[in-house]
Amino acid sequence: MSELLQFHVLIPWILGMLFGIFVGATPGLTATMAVALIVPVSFYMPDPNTGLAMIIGVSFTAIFAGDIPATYLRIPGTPASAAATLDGHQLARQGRGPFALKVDLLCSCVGGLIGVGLLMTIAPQLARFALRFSNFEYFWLAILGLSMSAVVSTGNTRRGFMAAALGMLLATIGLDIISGAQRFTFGNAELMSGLGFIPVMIGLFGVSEVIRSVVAGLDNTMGKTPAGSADESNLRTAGGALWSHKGTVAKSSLTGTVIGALPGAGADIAAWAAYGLEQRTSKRGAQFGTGEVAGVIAPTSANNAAVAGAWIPALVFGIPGDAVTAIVLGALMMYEIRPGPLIFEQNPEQVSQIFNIALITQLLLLPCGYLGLRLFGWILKLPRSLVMTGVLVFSTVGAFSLRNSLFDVTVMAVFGVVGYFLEAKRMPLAPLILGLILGPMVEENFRTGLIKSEGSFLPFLTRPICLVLLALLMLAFVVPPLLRRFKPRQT
Amino acid sequence: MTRPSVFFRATSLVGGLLALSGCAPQSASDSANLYPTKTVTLICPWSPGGGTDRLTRFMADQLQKELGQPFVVVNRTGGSGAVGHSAGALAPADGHTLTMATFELSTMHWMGISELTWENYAPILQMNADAAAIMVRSNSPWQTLDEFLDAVRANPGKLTMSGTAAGGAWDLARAGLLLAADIPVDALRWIPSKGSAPSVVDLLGGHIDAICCSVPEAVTQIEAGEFRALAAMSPQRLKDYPDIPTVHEAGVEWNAVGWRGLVAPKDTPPQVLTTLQQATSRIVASPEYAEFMRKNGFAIEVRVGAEFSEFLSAQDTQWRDVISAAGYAR
Amino acid sequence: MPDNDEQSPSADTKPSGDVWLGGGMIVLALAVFAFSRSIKSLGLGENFDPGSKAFPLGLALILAIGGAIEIWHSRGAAPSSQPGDGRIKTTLILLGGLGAYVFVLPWLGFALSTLALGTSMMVWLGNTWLRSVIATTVLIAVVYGLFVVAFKVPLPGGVLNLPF
Repeated sequence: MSELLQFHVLIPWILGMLFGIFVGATPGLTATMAVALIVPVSFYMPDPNTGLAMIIGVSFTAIFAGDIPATYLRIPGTPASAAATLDGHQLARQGRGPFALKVDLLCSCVGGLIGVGLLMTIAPQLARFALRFSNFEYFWLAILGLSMSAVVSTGNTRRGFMAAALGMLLATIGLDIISGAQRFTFGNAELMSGLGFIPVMIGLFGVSEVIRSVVAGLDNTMGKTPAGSADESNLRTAGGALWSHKGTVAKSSLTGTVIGALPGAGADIAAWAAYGLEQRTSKRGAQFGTGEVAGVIAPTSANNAAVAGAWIPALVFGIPGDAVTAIVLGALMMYEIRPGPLIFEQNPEQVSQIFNIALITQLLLLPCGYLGLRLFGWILKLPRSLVMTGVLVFSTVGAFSLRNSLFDVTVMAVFGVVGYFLEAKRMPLAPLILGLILGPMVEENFRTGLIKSEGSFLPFLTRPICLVLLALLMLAFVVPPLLRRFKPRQT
Repeated sequence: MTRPSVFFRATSLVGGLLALSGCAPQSASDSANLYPTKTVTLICPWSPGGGTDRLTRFMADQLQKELGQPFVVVNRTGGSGAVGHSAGALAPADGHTLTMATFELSTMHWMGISELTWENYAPILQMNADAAAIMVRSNSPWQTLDEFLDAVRANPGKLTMSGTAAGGAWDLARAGLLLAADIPVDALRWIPSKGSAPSVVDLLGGHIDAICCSVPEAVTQIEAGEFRALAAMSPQRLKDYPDIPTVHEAGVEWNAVGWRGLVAPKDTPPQVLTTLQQATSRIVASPEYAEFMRKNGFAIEVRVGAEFSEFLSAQDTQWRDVISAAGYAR
Repeated sequence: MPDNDEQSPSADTKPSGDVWLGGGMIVLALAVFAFSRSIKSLGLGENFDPGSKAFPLGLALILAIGGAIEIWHSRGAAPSSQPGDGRIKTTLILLGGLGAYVFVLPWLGFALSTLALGTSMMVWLGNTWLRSVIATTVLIAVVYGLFVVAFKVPLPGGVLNLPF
């Protein structure tokens, strides 16, 4: 560990993490991209520890950073941050944005520490458990994440489900991997790979926000204290809020780690599942979506824990848990680190080095993230017309640079308009984006499951983990109507 | 059905390379040759971080050193590689836009995904080819390919195999293998997956019976004793994995590789192509290249210029037959 | 979130539906039904896959039903409040500008088209010309420095072959 705590390691490490904060906080630039961009840079580092620390550092920072614009501007920086557009953003509208983000930062750090802790202690067991998930289980998990986002979303549940269905329908565009058929491509090669969820997400949240604030007049919408001048919070008050919700933090981090450890699910589902779970079990569940602190804590603890969780199958089997880990695994090969069942026996020092880096990264996240949220707060103090123009410019660059595709810029603009009109009709957007992300997971696992079971639906209903997920699903559907009936909402 | 036998001639890589690099090692500074005059774009049809992307970035780095102009990698993903491949074919034919072409170039036009064929390009140099292989769990009853194929024959439609999406490289490799062994293609059910990694998980968890992918994609499990490789679809045993038998040893005449190679747009001037062929030939002969490929687990297989064209043409015919037999033809 | 509702986003107590939303969903569903006829399934025979049409059709059905319920609930409810003329005009201008931006981007390149859009947007929002041009130029310079120089992410150069 001591060889990590030296200047020539720490400086590039921290710089890398600041870079991760920047990329994550820019709408349209994702954690995946942050890692892909830092990997070639890391190869130039003279000391392999430095390179490794940079890569792992970036992979853990971008998701927290995605919560910053989600909270302040309601534009999620990464898909895993979409849940922060609910309570976090409501708090920001009440002028308590910095408080929400400080809580968020502490949760990300603690969630990450819990995740890494589980990774260090029970990774092999968790990985073996994750192997029991097959298409049948992933199908229900995706349904669970999807319906959570639909029922917890603001507005009414019917529209939440319609939005989810719309998102799933959009996800069917492109080449169907099960049969190889082209669906709704109209012979367009760009449509063949489907609508990327990043351009759609930037459009729905970023561009529509620009349209809305211009149409409504700049001072009209949430122009008041966007940076939270009335906010008196510091890390101590945020820590207090965290301590009074320590059960939530623990529960959500555990949920996040387990979901992250599943090779077929990532931080986005983890955030929604934790949010939904917390809303179901909290006494103040009805207040979720109006600026409830627990609604900030649950998803943000879970999404960072899920990043750590994704390392579990990666280290134990050499199988990436998500897109970010896939790139990290590729980079590890260049460092002659070959994760897999043998690494624990043959190279225990490599494993403990990775663990040390991951642990220290969580601690470094505090100063780096704090700097990031302060910087973003300053940006918000600029004239609002400039901020909105900046959002538009960065959204365009983000949409373009993902695949170097002007087509994606068009997609972004179209969904900006669609998002603006859907919002005007009070259609929640979060389930739509979740439908787009999870739609393929639902469909592919359903159809692949049927191919495996030779057309029988029984495994979907009888496998033990399926039963548990099904029970959770029932809970999610039956409880909210009851809550709504017996607890009329007041603000 | 017949397979072209020219396709897998053991290429005398080293000999060809030495000859090439020997004849004009300094041609980059040749006064007649001004290429490249500006930044060169290398199109990678697959997403950042993947194997093809890593190889493309390595080549960009090396070409920059060789030719003195910046080489920038641009990922143009989508449509099973169709978007990037067509962007590369439609680029100005001045050598300032090159494409890292992959296996899919040989198959996608037969499947109606794109109109492009290899003839839309001027092949520069093939860099790599990874043979497909069949892997099962170590605790499975099948010790050899023969036993496995007998099980498929005895229980048509019962056993499951995974590795890629429907119509992907390894699905077609499996279909070709079954055809060559006179087994109906649907006797072994293909479970489509997003790639080899999810199918490795499925096999580990016991949810499927076998996988078909390149050896490096499953090598950690093989080394750990979790998987057993039954056979590789190559004419000779693989240099890096001499313990794995070939399908030919089991009496099945079939080869399947996923390949990567650098190509330029069709009408690129010959002197530009020569410059590029010489530069890339020097790169693939370097110890850095060998080291890079070893770390990534990629198998080196080099064909230059006309030889690469022959290979592409043979691939085209081979996969046409398999694709139509497997029911994927447009 | 509704744009003029400062209190609570979920405060819509009236369960009324919206004709336009419902109608739009039904039209979309019909389009899906029409276009999915041309989806060709490839691959060999019977493998128990419900097919590539199953999900789009099922989802379209859900949307159609949801749309119908939406229209059903909108009966008798006052027609949804129409925004004032000024708002519609603003919206249309903005959408037109966005459309034009996407249209000229491939030709003018990123720098010029963004300069045009950004400047006009800022002027429109009440800034002076000079200030708008300077602010947008600085913004573009930042993007150039970060993306093209630092991250090596090329931006569209347009037919003039500008650096980006």
